[in-house]
Amino acid sequence: MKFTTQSSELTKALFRVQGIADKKSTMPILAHVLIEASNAGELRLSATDLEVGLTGNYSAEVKKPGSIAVHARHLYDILKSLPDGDVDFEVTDNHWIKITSGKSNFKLVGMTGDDFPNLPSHTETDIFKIPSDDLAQMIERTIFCVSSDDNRHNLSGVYCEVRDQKTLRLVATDGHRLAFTEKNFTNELPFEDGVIVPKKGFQELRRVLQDNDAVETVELGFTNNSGFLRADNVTLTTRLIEGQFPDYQQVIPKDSGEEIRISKSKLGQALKRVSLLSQGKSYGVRFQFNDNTLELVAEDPELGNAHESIEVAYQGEPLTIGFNARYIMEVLGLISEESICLELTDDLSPGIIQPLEEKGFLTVIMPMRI
Amino acid sequence: MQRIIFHVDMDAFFAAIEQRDNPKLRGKPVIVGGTGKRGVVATASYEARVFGVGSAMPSIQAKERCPHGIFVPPRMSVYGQVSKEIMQIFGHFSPLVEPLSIDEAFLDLSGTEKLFGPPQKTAKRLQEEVFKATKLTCSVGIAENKFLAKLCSEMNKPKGITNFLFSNIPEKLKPLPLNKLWGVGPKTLKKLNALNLKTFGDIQRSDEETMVEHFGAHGQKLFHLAYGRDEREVTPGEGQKSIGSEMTLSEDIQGTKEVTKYIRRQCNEVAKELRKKGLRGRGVRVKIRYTQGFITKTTQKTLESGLQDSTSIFDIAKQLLARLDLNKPMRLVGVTAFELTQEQEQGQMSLLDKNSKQERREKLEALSDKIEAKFGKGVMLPPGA
Repeated sequence: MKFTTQSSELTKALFRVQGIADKKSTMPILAHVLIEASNAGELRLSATDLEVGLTGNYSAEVKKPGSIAVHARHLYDILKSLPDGDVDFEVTDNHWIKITSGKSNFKLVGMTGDDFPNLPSHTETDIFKIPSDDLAQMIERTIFCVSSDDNRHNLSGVYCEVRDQKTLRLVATDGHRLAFTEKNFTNELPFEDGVIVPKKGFQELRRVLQDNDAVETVELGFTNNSGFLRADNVTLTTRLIEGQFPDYQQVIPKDSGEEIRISKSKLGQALKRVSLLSQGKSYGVRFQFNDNTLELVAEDPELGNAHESIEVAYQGEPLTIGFNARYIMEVLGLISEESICLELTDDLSPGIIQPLEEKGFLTVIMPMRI
Repeated sequence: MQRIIFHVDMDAFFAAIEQRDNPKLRGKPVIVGGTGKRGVVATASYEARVFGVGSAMPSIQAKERCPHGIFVPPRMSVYGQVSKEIMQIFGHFSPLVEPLSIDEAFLDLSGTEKLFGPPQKTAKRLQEEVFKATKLTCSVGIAENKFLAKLCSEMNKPKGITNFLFSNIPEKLKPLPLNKLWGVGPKTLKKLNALNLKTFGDIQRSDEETMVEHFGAHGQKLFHLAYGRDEREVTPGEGQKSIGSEMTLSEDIQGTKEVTKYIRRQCNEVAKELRKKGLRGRGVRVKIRYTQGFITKTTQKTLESGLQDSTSIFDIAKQLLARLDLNKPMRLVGVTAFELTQEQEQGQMSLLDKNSKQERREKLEALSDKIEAKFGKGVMLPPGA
């Protein structure tokens, strides 16, 4: 195999696979990136950790087609240290790779490309297209709630389902809070059953979308056990999580409690300050509602206490409820409007936070005992 | 501020309780312990100690030394109850009470002179309060640290008060034999004797480096203890570590079905105790002892959150039993809940597990506790009990 390409192009391609090439695996090949050069002047880079796989197509001047697996981290470190310009690649005997750029020469040991695991292909699947900005926002608004608890496998991803062939719904929960978002699309979404996409799959997609502003639409497709996402020249495949996602509709309270309108920025800043003195950095903050005032209180028996009050539209009975301030602050960061609506029933029931005007995004948060 | 530490040790605790509860035993050599072939002496009354009977001695040997001794089987639950009473009385004198065992504790009384008067007087009052409440006597050691307090509490037993609050402590310690030094067991003693160190004074005359060379960090500790120096604080107990129920069976049992029957009953007892104390166990341990070879096997599991109801504990216990060979004759079975946590932890409530099975079972069993309290034991029985 022999090809020439731009160092900047290859560095970017290698950066994309860094999060996927699995350095901790007991299979050494998984720490490698598979490089395939074809006669059509195309270079393909693939990496996988057996859960998520990513393949990107790039252009190159291919002099001799072939394939090789190279340690992803080492190659990336070399490439990013090179100046802009042409880089020559050549595979010699025993899987040695010669990398030449100007007067720099590297010789790196590789592995045969034949040993690299196959990534699932999705030629047979129905795919649907949605604007990438919309999907990126929906992922952003749910992924933060995904559970990191290894014992709760069914919560370790984002649940996706389509309603009435028009509405895409994403839901995630870690057992303490739940994020729900939905959006209507004009084109038909040919997909029915709900699937759970592992956090890493969406994380990597987000990474691809973030470093490529030119991508306008994303293609999505699902089979029984894998998902497939394509943005521009990059294809991401992900294993789907087996298991039952909890009945999220049961968790979202139906009876609306007291609806309280609050300024997002005022609440966010006050929480940031007050939670500095929460007990043992637990972020536990007491919300005390009383006659158009919300008083936020945090106490640590060893440090001291903090109080701050905010004007809110509240005329109900006095109510005291504890929340993890970090949970609230995370949600506030995902709302674009200045006003939010907090819906509360009592100190033992979940609260709902959503934008005051915009529909289709809400978070249910269970209180803390403080 | 000078530290004032008490070490309070009950006098012949088990035997004294037996003599208190049974007037016929008073003034006689009472030996509390197992009488079987394998029995050992738990405690001997002072009347029996005269004949050389001591704790941990095989009962057969005790019988040889004191043929007219009266053997009494131990009543641990009674002793436990009395122990609670005396610890409570200690609590009247200081919030810093560190129980060492069922019948002894350290008390930190530093700074209480204004409240109670001189330590000597306080110790007298403590003895009186304990006697008034339990009709039992105790001995008190008073010193500026834990080691010295424990060392001197046994010097004037029974009913003694020994005050070690004076200045020339190292001088006073010099003639004491090294088995009185804290942390010296038979092995270390042998090693010390081989180095020609036989008394506290011998260690005082050697130097720290030599002790460290031979005994490591432990050697340094021994060196300081030999001078009567001990910085350890009195730390109130961290509370109970586990709640268990086990039973030596009158007849051997064999087979999963038989064992499960006992385990179920024991899970009920453990769960009831947990609820009574407002605790939850994050860990469940099952223990069996095979008759042949007296081999004990335990297996355990730690969970994410604590359990309090018998059905959930039993579910785990059943999983654990599956790991053990139950087709050999067994003489003992037991269940223990460990890693105990407080019932209502401050913290995040759960969104998904609100009406979980476990919660419903807990409610049910708490209700059954209430019904039992009102109508008597046994009116409500869980399945299999």
